[in-house]
Amino acid sequence: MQITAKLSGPLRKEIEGLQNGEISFQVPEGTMVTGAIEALGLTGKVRMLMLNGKAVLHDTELHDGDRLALLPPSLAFNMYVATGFLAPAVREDIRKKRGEKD
Amino acid sequence: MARMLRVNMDDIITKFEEIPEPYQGLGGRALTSAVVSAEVEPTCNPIGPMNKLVFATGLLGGTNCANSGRISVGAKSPLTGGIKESNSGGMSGAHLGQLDIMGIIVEGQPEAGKWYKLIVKAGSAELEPADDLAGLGNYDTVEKLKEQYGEKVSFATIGQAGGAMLSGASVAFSDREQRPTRHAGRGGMGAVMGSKGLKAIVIDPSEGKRPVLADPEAFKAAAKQFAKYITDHPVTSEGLTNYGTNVLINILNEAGGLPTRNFSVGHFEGAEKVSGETLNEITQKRGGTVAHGCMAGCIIRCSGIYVNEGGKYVSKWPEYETVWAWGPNCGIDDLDVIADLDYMCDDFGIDTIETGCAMAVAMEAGLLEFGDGPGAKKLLAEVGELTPMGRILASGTKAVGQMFGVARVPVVKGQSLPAYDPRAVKGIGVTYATTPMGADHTAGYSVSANILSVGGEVDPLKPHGQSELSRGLQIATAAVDSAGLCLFVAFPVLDYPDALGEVVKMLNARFGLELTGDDVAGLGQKVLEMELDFNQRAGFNKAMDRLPDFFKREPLRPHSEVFDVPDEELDATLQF
Repeated sequence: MQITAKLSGPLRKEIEGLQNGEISFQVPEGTMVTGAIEALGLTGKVRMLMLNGKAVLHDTELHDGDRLALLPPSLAFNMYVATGFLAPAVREDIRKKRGEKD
Repeated sequence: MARMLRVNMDDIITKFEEIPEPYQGLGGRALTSAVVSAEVEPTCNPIGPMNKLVFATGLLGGTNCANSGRISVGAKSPLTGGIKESNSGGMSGAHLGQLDIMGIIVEGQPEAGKWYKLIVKAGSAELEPADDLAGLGNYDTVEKLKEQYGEKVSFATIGQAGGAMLSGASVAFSDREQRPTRHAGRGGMGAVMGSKGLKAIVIDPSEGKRPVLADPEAFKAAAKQFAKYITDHPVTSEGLTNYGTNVLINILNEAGGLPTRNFSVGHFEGAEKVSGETLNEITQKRGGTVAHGCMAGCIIRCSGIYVNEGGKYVSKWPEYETVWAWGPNCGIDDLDVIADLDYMCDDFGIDTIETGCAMAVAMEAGLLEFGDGPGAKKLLAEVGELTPMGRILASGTKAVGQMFGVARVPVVKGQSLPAYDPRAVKGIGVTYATTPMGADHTAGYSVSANILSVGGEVDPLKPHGQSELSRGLQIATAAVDSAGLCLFVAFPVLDYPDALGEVVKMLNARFGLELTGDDVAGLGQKVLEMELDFNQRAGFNKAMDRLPDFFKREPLRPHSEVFDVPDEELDATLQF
């Protein structure tokens, strides 16, 4: 199945052949978000993501025609704490920090 | 010893005075709102003699603290009819701090048609005639002032719109290159300055010195650590630095929250062409400047210099809200056109958000087509010429809607909404509805959610939890605005739990206090309470804490969401 990823800022330097910061590529049926990021060679470089414009967990299954937006740490604006688009790993970090602080 | 400067435009006299007891310990927004609240009759006409215009440096202004040179401008707003604090970068905030002047209060009104400039130095403040500057745009005004006062000073000026007392007028503050590119844009503060017959303020810090610190060593240590947090954080050291605030175009577009063609859809097909990534690419290709600080002491440097194909200066990097207002919101997908429009707004002295939204409403009215860049420039040029149409446009979004019979007018309390559609980003919708400022994104968005232990995982598309989130953010923002810090310090403050503590340490070392983090939050709440009280006395009520009804009725594509935070939650947001 085919999915599209829109890369932001410095992530664009990681991959060649982007059109307007986007790349469409094939992944096997049943691929999770994590698998798509891995297929792009961006494991560990994505801090925030959206799937079809909404926050999702990394273990969400992808479907044909899906669109991912991937953001690196330098563009993971705090406003997404407010708007809920933080990558799950970051949410967990914040939870931990709060726990330690509390 | 910190002082206040009173400027009496009835009698054309100035007077330095000790800071009155009720204003002691206040800076920035806390000071402007305290003065307006205590000294301005809430029912007065905003461009009449009873209003007062207040400039204030932040509590950390003039110090070595990074990113502490913001300036606040306050008055009763001609746009909203309520209290207003409008915040700007540029050099003047730090310069006032270096002169140990916490605030300037401009009051009264001179004989109609007379123009003055105020020259502020270490030992003096003089009002001088400025009739030769009347009618000039900000760029020409500053050029003339530079000839006379040299390159070491900063300027606060108004353009044609402020001179004509139009409600969308801004106050321009000069940047490090003495260009009038940084603006207290929101709420018509330029109109109030125009009503005082004050064309320009020249601030000469040459014989000033940095504020006396109660504990210099403690201050130095905290300032160093605070700066390290900013330079360590990827957003404030890389993201904003390389792409500017405009990097948000693609992010909001992907989220379906980028208001397009007068808030009719949340996704713009031309977003990539006007994005932060494209801005960076064009700037590098043409030999412009990436990573430019708008004020001395800025280590984030989220601005840049936009140049044309020949490498000549066009404007500073337009901010995200400016690119959005004139780009997606008007259906324009050309950064060259948007940079020209940004320059024109800076020159005429008008708020880019308000005027871009006004243009989109004019487009909806059929005055020109969405996407018509040359048409937008032609119409905007009328502001500089002060034609009747130009005056309407510079009077704001609501005025254009009223003049041309448009029902879909995105304003709260008469002020236009910024660049986040409240149907897709509901927490910001609550802030738009409830802040005493009128629709304002900076009143409650960027500051970290965990400072005040409010929820950090609120789904932007669900109505629940948004009210608590907005309340916490509004309190924290009021505190940051009072310290004189750039709002973007919030990024490290969120991610490094001790960063806020360094700000508190600096405040204590500056003034010899023993504040805690709770005290800082308490200051934020106190500011909001003063502002809400002023608005209530001005006749504001709960019915004005609502978004325009189309946000409840018209689902926003692509998520097909409406704004559905219940009215009771809006009403509870700022009940302390």
